[in-house]
Amino acid sequence: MKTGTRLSLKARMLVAGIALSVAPLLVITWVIQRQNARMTSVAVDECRVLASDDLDHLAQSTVSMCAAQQELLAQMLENYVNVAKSTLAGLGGASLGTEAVSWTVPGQPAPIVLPRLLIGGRWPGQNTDPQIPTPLVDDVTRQLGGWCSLMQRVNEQGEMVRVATNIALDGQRVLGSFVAAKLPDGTPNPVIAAALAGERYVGRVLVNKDWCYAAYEPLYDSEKRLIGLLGVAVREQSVVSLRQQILSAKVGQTGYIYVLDSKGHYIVSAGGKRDGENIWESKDEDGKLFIQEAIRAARATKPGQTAEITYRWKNPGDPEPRLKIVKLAYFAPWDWVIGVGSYEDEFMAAPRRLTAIGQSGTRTILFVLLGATLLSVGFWLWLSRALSKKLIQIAEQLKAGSSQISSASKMIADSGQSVAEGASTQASALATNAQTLESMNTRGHEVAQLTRGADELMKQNIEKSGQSLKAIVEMTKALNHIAADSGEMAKIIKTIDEIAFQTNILALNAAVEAARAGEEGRGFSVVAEEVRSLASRAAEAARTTQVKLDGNVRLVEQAASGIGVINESFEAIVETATVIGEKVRSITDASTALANNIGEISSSTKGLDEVVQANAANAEESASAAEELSAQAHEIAALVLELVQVVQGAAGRQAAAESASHLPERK
Amino acid sequence: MNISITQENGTVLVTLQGEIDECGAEEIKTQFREVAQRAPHAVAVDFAGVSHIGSAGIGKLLVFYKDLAMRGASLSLIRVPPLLYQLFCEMKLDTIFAITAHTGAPQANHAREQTPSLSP
Repeated sequence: MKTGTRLSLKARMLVAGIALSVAPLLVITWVIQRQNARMTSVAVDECRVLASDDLDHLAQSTVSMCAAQQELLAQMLENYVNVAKSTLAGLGGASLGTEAVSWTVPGQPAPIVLPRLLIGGRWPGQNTDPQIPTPLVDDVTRQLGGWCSLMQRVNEQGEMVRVATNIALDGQRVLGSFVAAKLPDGTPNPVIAAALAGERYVGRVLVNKDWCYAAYEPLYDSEKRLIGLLGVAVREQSVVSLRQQILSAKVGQTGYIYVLDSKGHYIVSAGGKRDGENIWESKDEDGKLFIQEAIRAARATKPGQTAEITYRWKNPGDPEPRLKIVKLAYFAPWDWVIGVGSYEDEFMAAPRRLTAIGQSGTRTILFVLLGATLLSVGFWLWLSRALSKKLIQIAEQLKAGSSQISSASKMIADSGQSVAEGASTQASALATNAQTLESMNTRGHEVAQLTRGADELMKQNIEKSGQSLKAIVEMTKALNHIAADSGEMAKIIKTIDEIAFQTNILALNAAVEAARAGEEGRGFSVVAEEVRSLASRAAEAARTTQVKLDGNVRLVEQAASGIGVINESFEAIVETATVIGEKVRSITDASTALANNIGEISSSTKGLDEVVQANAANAEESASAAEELSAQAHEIAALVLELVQVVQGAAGRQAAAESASHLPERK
Repeated sequence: MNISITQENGTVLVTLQGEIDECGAEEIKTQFREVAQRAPHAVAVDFAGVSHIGSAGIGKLLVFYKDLAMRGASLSLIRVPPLLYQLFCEMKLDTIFAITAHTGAPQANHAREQTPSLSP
């Protein structure tokens, strides 16, 4: 049993319950916080990507718009030059006259003398007055607007001088402008190169310090020699709709699209307020020449690509510099560096709101956590008290139960011991009984054996009785025969007696006669006497025989009578003996059955003895089990003690120990 | 135990059926006496229907034989089942009166005796 437990069950339940209740909330809070952080991070990343894509898209869209506009302008200028060409053809075409004319060309050391360039065979003159119409150029611009110029070839390099135009500067038509074969940077002038190649040039040109979009059509004389150019142009400012679209584009809250040229001049500035201003040397808060970096990055891009720069910028009123992200694209045909910029904090508004919502949610969860903790404390306090109370009740019942079990087990042990002793005595008695039954069984078999001997004797008895009866019958028959013979013998004796009597009479007669005969009759008389004597003796013998015979008859009658008695007695003997035999046989069967039954009882007694032995063993086991039960009851008491200690803490240990001491002592 | 008696001229036929135990022996004793009083010349007892005969029954047979013999009549046992025939021969009854064994199949309902015995 543990004795080191200091906290009561109530305290442990309280701690565990609160921990179990609050821990999930803490985990949930941690998970939500983590999810919020991840969500904010994802939102920031996604917003950054979206903003980048948006800026990128805007830059690309602007480039696309420029390309579309440029294509439109090209088409329009194609139309312009076609109209101008038709107008020129309508006027009779261009040709060189025979008379020369001198042109004062700015930047040239001496005037340039050239043959007159005729329009429809007429020289338009060196008209610088806008009020005086110049054929062709005024005709064209009257129809289409813009500018129209007529250039005349100066030399073999194809350099040109403007000989007729409606471009005006300071109220004068600008004549004598020189178009060199090479640009200031030494590269071939594309206008001249195209004319020498016999091709029309459509592109961007600088006219009076203004960038224009122009188309130049080569002019040939009748011998197909290049004699000049027919040019039409419109100012960039004529691309009003594109400009308006760029100005009206909103990027985030304060972002905008701007256009620079590669020299750092604003072409389209925010609100158009700084158009034309050169911001080449502009620096950010960190001193970085970010405009130069932007122009370099933009010019390094390929068509369809954008570049990105970031810099910190502080607008008036801003407490701190803000990071600005600019997507850059370069539209080479116009030398436009298109920048689309916005402050990072503006397109990060959504993640900020998300973070704010997450923080608000966290605060709510913390409030809920606090409330749940309080509720949990209350609930587990109530539950631990209720459970402790119930457990104490159960412990009390267990304690009482263990005491009862201990008492009952002691009784069972005592009873088991008594049963075992009784079973032992019973087993001894059964052994004696079994011995007795075995003896009885032996006796029974002996009786059966003896009676089976009687059965054999009975057979012999019947045989002898039969033979005796037969003898009696024969004897009776013989006696009867003797009796019958005695009668015959009496008759014979009577006949002999009668013969003797007659013989005696005859002897007497003979004697008489002999006497009468005297001597002669003496002999006869002797014979007669002898005969009479014989007759007398015969009669005597007959009488004696009769007497004997009568005696015999009486004896035979007595024998017959005796045999009759014997007969009747023997008949009774036979009947009695055979009936006795029948009964002896029944006794034999009964003895056999009794012996068998005794054998069965003996077997049953053996089985009973085994049962009694088993009962004795079981009783011993019951006693042992009762001892074990008693031990378990004491263990239960110990567990109750521990339970009380667990429930009530160290304070309950002493009281439980005192209660446990009331249990019956173990054997 | 069934006993039937028929007489033709001076010869009486006594037909027995069933088991002749102690009670049956008393029954045949009575019937035998009646038959003896008829002073027959000869009596034949048909044992074909007898499945068992005890010593008491045999005793009655012996007495019946004596009664008849005293009157000069003869007794014969006819159609005696083999087991009974063997039993009678063991007792040498065949030397006292004529015994004829039954050669036919024994009746099914009277065939429980397995060994020659006087037992019921």
